[in-house]
Amino acid sequence: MKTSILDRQFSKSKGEVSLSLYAFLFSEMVQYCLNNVEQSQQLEDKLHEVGVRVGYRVLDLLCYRDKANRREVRLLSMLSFVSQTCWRALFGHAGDLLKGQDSELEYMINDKSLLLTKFISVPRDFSHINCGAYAAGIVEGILQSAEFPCEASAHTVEESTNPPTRSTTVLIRFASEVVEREKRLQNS
Amino acid sequence: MLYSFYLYYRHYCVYHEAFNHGRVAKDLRGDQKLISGLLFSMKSFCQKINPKDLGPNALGNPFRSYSTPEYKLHYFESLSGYKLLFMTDPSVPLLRELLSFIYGSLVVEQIIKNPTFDIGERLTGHPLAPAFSKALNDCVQATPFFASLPQ
Amino acid sequence: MSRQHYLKAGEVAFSKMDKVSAELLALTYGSLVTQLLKDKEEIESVNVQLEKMGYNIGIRLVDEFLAKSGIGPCQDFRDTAEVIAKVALKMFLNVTADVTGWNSDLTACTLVLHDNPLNEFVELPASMAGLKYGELICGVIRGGLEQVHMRVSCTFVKDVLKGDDTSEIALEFKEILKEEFVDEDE
Repeated sequence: MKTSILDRQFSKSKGEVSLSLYAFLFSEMVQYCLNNVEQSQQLEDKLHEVGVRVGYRVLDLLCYRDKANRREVRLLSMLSFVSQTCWRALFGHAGDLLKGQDSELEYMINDKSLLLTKFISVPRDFSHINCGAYAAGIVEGILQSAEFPCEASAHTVEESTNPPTRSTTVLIRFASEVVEREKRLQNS
Repeated sequence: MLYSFYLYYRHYCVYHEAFNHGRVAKDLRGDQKLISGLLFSMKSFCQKINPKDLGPNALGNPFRSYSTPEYKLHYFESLSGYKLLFMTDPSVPLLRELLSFIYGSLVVEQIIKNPTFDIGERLTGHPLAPAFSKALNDCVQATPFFASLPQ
Repeated sequence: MSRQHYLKAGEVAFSKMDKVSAELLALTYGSLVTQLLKDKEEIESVNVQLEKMGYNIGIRLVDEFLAKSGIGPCQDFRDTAEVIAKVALKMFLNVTADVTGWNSDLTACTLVLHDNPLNEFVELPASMAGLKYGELICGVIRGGLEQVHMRVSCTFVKDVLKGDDTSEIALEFKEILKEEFVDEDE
């Protein structure tokens, strides 16, 4: 008899696999997206789309496991959840949460050594592909799914360290109603 | 003293580097083909006259080196068809382990795992070649035999 | 080489690998499959694409396997199947399989997977009964074996996602690919 997926336990973390296989899979995914788009910009969009889908599921999984079904409604708590709990679960370490300087709608999560960009080299024909688009998609998926409508995009910066590393920043731009709601909650 | 390094995939040479002013062939491509033919014949030959009968399906271990008074050829081959060889002076002891290391840590990690490299592509002239050359040089220059004088 | 030896070799190999969350792999793979289902009209072409992607992975993965596992040439196809089931699957997926169901020629067998990390969180609707969800793994095996000069066929024949008791891969040896000396002309 087939046990329903809803009856299965997933309170414990399922374990680990080799980074290598994950890297190869991700690489193939990028390659597939690359072969199925027409211009370089669309590759990022496609990766972003794939990431959003992952984000929807990540939220369910981690919320259930870590918070025993309590929903985050406050903005900073949610962002903290994403940059700490989610980031750690997915990438092995926490990201740095920063407030955007230019707008109260903007926040950033910075990662100095994002798992993805470490081993994904840019295909020869495209010099500005940013696989951080995938991470940004995940962030967007998580936040959208938690009723924090936003758009997330990724930017990489080459650090002049030795050896040179690439630091990825996910820029989150919330819809204005999110900030308004936060203000209302603060005042109540 | 190390004279040169060759990396083959199947039967063609994907990378070659000469050290210590080693022999620069007038016809590099021709040389590479000759070596390829040599490896193929040598392997087959060694298996045929093997005094121990390994049976028809045994892949066996291919030959490891041969020497002439002028040079020694060290050979390592992966089960997947990557062939690595050094040409050195005859006094250098067998460098099979070094070749195996280069395969596992350089070829696999830097080249095969890199999505910008198509399997079977030429490495010479590829954007990854300079980094590979540097890593290779770091590796071989650390050995005591790199610039040792022929005994 | 004994099963015990291979089990140990698999554990040692996996312990040396850099690791990543199995959930991340499962979620990424699931997202990829969903994308393919969206892009392609027929489920069979998704199966083909997954296998092909697996193949592309396999032809590279095999070298990391050879370099890091220390496994030497196999004596026969039985040996090969055990190596895949106990060492390779363990090293990369952190799972092992049982090799059963040999035919009399010893050219075909079944790999019974106890667990498949790709299946985590996945439920297949009845409309997708034709989908071979984990077919990527089969492509990896086919690609990897082709690089060591063995042509095989490899595909899922049973899947817990479809209500079967176990997930099983049918592995069949087809032929040795002879190393031919071809004069390569540019």
